[in-house]
Amino acid sequence: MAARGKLIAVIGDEDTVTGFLLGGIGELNKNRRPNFLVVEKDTTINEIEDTFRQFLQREDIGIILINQYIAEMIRHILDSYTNSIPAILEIPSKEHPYDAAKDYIIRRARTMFTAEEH
Amino acid sequence: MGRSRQRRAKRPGRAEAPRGHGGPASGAAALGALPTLNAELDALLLQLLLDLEHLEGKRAALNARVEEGWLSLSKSRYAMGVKAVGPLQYGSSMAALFRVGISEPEPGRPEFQVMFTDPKEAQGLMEPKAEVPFPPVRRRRTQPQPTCPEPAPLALPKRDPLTWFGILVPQSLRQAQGSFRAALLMAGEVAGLQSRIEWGRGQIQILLQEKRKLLDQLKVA
Repeated sequence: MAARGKLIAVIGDEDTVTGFLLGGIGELNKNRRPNFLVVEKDTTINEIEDTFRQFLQREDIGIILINQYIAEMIRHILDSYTNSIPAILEIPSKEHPYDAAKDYIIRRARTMFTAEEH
Repeated sequence: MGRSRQRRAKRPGRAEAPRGHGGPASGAAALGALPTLNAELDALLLQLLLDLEHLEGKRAALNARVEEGWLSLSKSRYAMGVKAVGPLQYGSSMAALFRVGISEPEPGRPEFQVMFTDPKEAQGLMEPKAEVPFPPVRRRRTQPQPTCPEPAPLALPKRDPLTWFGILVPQSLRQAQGSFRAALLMAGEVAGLQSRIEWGRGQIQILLQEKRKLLDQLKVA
């Protein structure tokens, strides 16, 4: 696995997941665990949280792509995430454009430039 | 004991420094270390700002590719039918064509490189190309697409996700594949920039703590 590299996981709406699977990141391993989750109207926040946590714990995943509006639903998990692998990338969705102010990396970097640091 | 007597002998008018802080000697050391520390802090902050600027550019490019892909998917649905491009068509078995290689030039600062899995590796797992017992269906070769980024290397038909959607797929679906593959390559660069920014942030926090300690020593001295 180390020689072949790690997987890219995706949590998003139907278009986002279909697009990235079309690109070729989808994998169903021998345990039939997918590296993607299609979030629909009836997908609960608990399901999203469970899937996200599973992706974080899997050693074969290097990057997680997640629609930003879905990341907002589990922001509490993202804000407490401090590991560098897997990397988490927030991406826009069709109905919700990308907002840099909500991105957890940008928000953390902003704290470097507050007056109290000096 | 001997040193404090010597200090008193040299500077009789100076009050003895509180124990544990080292006195004027440590203050001089702190004063000497401060410019170096400030220079390191400035360099790290500048690098952080540069990385943030690069990240913004890469993100804009990544988002643009993803939006291109959505548009192409919509065109494909228009051509093939609304339900013809969706989760119902996903393959029952999937093997990832794109993987990410991770290296750590410095501890805590991984670099990500998204790469296309070598089709020959897949051939080693499957039958050789010439002997694949496919039915007599012509295998389409990806044609040059001037409006899309360079197409990915040809994947074996069994592994190419395009085959989920039928034998003959519209050009818009291939364009969508090209756009999302370009987005994947950029995702690796964005992930690397993010990890560099996080690493830089951590280094700055460490240096700021050291600077506070030095400033405290100077105040005491």
